[in-house]
Amino acid sequence: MKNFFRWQRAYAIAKKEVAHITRDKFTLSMALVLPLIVVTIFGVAIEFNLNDISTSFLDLDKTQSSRELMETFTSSDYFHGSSILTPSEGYRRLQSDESKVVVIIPPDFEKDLISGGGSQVQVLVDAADGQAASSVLSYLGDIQPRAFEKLTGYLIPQNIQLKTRFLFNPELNSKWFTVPGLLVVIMTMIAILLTALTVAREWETGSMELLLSTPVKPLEIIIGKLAPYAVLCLGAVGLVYILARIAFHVPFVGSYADFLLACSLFLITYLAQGLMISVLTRKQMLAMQLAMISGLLPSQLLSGFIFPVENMPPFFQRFTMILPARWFMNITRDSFLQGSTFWQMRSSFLGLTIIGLVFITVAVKKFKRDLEP
Amino acid sequence: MTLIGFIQKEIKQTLRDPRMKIFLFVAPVIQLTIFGLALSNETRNVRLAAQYRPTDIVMHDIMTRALASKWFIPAETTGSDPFEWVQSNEADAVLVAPPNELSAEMERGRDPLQLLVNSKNSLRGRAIEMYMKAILQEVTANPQGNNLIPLQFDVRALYNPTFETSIYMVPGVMSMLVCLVTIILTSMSVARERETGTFETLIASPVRSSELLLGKTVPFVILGMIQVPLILAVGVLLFGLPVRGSVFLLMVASFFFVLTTVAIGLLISTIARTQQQAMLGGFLFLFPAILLSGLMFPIENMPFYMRALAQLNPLSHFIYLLRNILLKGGGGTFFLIHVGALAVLAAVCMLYATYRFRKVI
Repeated sequence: MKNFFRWQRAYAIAKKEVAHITRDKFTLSMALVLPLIVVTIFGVAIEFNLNDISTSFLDLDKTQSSRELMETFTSSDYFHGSSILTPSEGYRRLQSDESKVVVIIPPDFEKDLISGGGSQVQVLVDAADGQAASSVLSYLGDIQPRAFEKLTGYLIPQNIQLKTRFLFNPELNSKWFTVPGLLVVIMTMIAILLTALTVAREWETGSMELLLSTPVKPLEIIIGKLAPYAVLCLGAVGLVYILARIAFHVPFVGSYADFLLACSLFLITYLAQGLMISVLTRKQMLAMQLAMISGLLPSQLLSGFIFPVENMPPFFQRFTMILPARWFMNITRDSFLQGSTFWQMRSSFLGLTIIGLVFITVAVKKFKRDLEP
Repeated sequence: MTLIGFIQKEIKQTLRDPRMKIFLFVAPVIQLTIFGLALSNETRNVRLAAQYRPTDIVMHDIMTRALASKWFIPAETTGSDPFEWVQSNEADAVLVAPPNELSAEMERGRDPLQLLVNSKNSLRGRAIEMYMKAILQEVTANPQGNNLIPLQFDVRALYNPTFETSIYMVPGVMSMLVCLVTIILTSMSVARERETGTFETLIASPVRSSELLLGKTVPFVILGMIQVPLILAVGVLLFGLPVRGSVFLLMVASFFFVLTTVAIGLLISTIARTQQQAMLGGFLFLFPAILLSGLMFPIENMPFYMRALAQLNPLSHFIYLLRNILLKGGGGTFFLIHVGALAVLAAVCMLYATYRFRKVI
């Protein structure tokens, strides 16, 4: 038992693994370049709020009022558009994706408006692109009272004054939401994929058997092999953190201690998952597929990174609880933007810890059983 | 003849492992189901709390209407500080009535009703405010409807009248899954031969390099083309995805798309020496391609050069085509333009991959 674990031997394995990583310049640069590219894309190109929706106006009224209505639309930043002459032209444009919206102003628009009978303006929305469609709907709610006030000069009585305070992201900047989330996605990528692949490679090339015939113990192999990747992963986290703070001015109002604790928990959990995958598959190609299905896609799509968990049907909301990424995503965003205390985030920490323990136990057990005679 | 044998060998090798069959044919179906059911950008289940005196009738009315709508659900809160409710994620939004009752303030109109919104997610924050405004409008409109604005928009959602999220998510997820599998499989297949050294044996054998090239691409094109109808069938059967256009056009579009992705996979494999490198190279392409494809974020919103870049992205063309053909029954010039773009991309990638491939040999 005295011989059970020696740091020295784990260190030797780690040294070999580091040599392996540094020799493979391609992998190393990928692991560092990929986060940079992804963060840049998010910072530069991704914007949730849809502006400049291409709109076609069919004006059958041709009066002062109808022109003013069109102007209300186009002066709003949300819509920009051109006139068309027939309804069929409008359908054609929707069909060929040239326009997302067609606004049809009926012949008696001005007359009805002045007589107070109420006028109906038809709005055709291309709901094949759901995001565009739901944005359009919310913008229409904004345009409606404004257009009415502008056209008739009446002020709509506002009995209840609503004052909205947007907390934690007062300018509604979507980058503040996505960039911290990227930390989670990038960690997943490096931790699960790289670990699964490197360990699977040892199996595939048969060098794992060789390693086992040496006096090195399984636990030493695990720690030695995983430690360098943990460091690489933390390096990527640091990189994203610096970018988020400096380039995108995302605030960090929470506690660093809590955040680092969550980081380590998450990292260990995902390294364990990577290890488990490699033991189960023992082939790089399979390992990669399994890592993708069980790690990467869920952590991107089901963790609330872009699609909020709250919007999911109840069953899936519960289902996402088994994903470590979901809990870590909460902690990351709460730490960056919300400044929640440890006590306020206790359920996320609890979830992360439980899943982490399960993963580690299963991975180590499976690894040992497969190795020890 | 050697070519056919080679292709057979390649398909057999890929499918030999039963687990691989599961990954290739079962996993995409499950994924499509999960993502199709779960993913939605429509803001729902907003946990709403309120702070007001129990005698405040108007506030009571507002809360009743809000919770009866499909958007809000009640929040369970502890303590008495509304800000803390939001900060501890107990509530997504909190209505705080003015110190005097809102019922009284409505007459005088001085102190506003406050809405605290957790707007970490800007999209959600904005939607919550909009929902609340709609409810307030409902509350203030008196029974005769005098306060209804006499200018109404009659909105018709075409192609997806019930706003079913899955109807537009499924085509996007479908193209993503096909793209993932073909690129990764192709690039890793060649890289594996190089890593294990069997590539040298292949070169030394009497197989011609063009046969080698075809043998490494055709199987994956076939696999990809099997995946398309499979995933599509799930979409139709499970999600009621309409197929309004021609299936033939759809398969033509899929063919050019799969051709492009396989070519990209081949290109990556000529650069990568090991499977690990091939995989990372695949991701280097896939990540930006998926993010900029219009699946999750609208392309129209991106800066000009990013939109130009999106034109070079096979995924965005394929998603356009899928949505257009499936939902709008598309065809005509729209089809020709985007299939043309895919064909050009496929040709360019194929030519360049061939050139690199020969050089590697």
